[in-house]
Amino acid sequence: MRRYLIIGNGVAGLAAALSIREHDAKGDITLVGDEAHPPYFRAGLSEWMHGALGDDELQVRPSALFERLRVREVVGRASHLDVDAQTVTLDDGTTFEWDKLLVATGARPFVPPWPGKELKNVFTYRTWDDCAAIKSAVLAQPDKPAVIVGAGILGLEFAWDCKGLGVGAVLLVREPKVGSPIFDDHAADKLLQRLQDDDVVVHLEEEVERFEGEGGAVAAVITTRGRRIECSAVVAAIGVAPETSLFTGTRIALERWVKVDAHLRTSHPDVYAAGDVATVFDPMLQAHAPTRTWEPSYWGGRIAGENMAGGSKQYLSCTMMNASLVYDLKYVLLGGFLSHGPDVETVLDPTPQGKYGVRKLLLKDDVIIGGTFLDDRRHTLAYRQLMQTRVKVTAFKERLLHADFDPNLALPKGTLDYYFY
Amino acid sequence: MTTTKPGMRSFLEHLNDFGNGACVGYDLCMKACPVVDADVPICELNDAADNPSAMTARVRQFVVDCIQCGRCTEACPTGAPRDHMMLHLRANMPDRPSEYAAYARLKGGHGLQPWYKDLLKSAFQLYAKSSVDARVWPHLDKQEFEQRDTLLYFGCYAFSHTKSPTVTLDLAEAMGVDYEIIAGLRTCCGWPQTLSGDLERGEELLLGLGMLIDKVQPKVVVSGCAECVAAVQVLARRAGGAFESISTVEWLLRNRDKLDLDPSDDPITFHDSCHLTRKMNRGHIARELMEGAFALNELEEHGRDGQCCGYYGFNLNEEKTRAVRRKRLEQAKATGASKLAVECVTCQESFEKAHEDGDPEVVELQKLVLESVLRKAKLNKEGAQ
Repeated sequence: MRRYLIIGNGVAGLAAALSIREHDAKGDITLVGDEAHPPYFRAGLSEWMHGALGDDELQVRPSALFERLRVREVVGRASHLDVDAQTVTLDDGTTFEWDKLLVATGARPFVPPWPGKELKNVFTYRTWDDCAAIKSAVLAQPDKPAVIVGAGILGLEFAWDCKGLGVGAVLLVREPKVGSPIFDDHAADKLLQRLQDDDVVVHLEEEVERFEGEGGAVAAVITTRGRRIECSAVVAAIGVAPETSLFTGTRIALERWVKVDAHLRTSHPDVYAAGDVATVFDPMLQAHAPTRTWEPSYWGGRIAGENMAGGSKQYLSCTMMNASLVYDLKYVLLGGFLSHGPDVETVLDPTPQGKYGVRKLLLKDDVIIGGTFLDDRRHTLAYRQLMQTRVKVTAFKERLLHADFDPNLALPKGTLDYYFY
Repeated sequence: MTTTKPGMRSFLEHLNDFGNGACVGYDLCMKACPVVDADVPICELNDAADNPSAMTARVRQFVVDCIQCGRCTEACPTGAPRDHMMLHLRANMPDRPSEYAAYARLKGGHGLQPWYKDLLKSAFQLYAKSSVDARVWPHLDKQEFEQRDTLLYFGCYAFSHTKSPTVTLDLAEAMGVDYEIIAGLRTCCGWPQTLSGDLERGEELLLGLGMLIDKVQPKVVVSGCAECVAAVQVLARRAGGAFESISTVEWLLRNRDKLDLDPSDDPITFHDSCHLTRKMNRGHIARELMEGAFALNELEEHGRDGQCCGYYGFNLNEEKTRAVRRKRLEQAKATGASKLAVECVTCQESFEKAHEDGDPEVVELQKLVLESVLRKAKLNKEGAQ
């Protein structure tokens, strides 16, 4: 009986467990996670913070699932990997032997060495426990704003939470625009307009200089422009780093992320990695790329699981789609959405719907290679299919984003006869 | 070369490659749903989507109750095609309700002996003769066709008590358009079967309809039923765009210059068909047609946010379907309009089942257009005298 060990109970670890059991009915599966919660929806934490979702609604799969699939759940932090002995040891000394190992430890938030960063109520925004602590800190001083450092997806998500919680938010943004780096200037302008319509205070090109404390907790932020902002809490949302510490001291190849091939295999034949910890070779892009978002991590986990159980499936198109909410606006980013150069052509919807609407596609040789959609997501799945099937849009390029153009009608015949909307 | 058979089943199998993994748990799909019981957790639904045989009793009930309105997909921040996932579950549920089969038999004569089908058909047609327009009667289930640019496709709604085909034919006359007709129970587009999860029968009927359309070689196929328009659009794509599939309302808009309308100040409101507005993105068509001729008071939820008429509840759960219909009719009442215009005959039939005194009158937009044309003709005639 093959022994499978999965380190990390996020979406990649969960998906791998599902996939292994689909392909190996007998194998012994152990899933180790360092958070005490069963796999939960990280994106849903935002809704949970302001009460739109309850605890039960954050669960990715029902509690009974692991019992049904005979997956052993272990709470603990994996601290040592021995690839020769094929073991992993946890902080508490428990050692697991494995025949196939998946490392899906995700990423950890990055905090610069700001003076005062050790003060209470200086948070990162990543886990359920983080969010619970942030919520109680900002609600303890509801008349003061929370300072959010960084205006990427997570920073703006927390700005939306602040509105839901009825507290003010002040954004400090290093760049001259919000939504960097994933939103282009046009979409960033719309986003900024959305924030300003809700009276969110945004300071562009302004960073943290240091924190002032009172009674051991943060009381104010002093910015690089000399501004002093009194606050209930600080949330740092400026980026994450892959959690690769388990690989330290092993001979497995690392390049900031752990590098895996299209089968999600590391440089060791029995060790796999998936999710935020990995950079995956994408045969479509002919390059390695980190997965970064939920859905590619899910598929990474599924494919790794299948291959650990003896399959030979390849991972494709990891950067094809990133879709969710930014603040309260729906967005979709397709393919190489920031591609530029003399051979890249931009097509814009002249009359997008929605007050903050943007619909933009990028073409190369009359084939869609990327796109940005904000607050107007009409037909994005059909455009994604046009991109993935590499349909030449020459004949209808002028109308590609017009209101009365239906991209479904341009899809290849066969499996895609029905519509996407 | 395509190796898989075309049809909804292969489409859903393709979709399943990315549908379930996209869910990030915002739960907005469940909040947008007009039928789900509050106690169906999304994690249980996703578990069933991974493995339909693990479907719990409450998920199964939800799958049966789903009206395929697509509000879930519209609400999902990731654009995950949740309504297609529900259809996938319906098509793969271990024990599909027998009512689905009964519904499919009525629409397409599935599972019956040919002689019995003929007998039933004759009996039904005799019974229904009074409700079928005399101009449509000769076309019912016929096999020989003339080649025409315009094909009016009435399918099973040739028998509708709403007399929708009569209005369409009167308008064709007013616009001076020449046409051919496909009508009758055996010309069903298969969409009801597909949406009930009987994907094979749906595909079979769709192919049958495709063969009839080929005989006419039309440039445009016109239907007053949104589901028919959606089904014929699939055929149009397979035919490489040899013809277009449009609603009656779109056909009127294209021929707007041939329609002399009498503008009315009487406020009306408009119900968006889920298929035409949300799924096919054609909500602007009806509004363009109404511009300048009707005073439109929009419903509280309109356009892509519109609520469903409840049609695809298949009446399996009378109480839930009625609640969906009432919600919409109450919204219509709140607009203060005297009429609730619809673009699709099934929407009209659906609303009529829950209509109460004091609700706005439910009427097809094309009928309002016809009335406007007749009014104007009368005025012109009176003016001339």
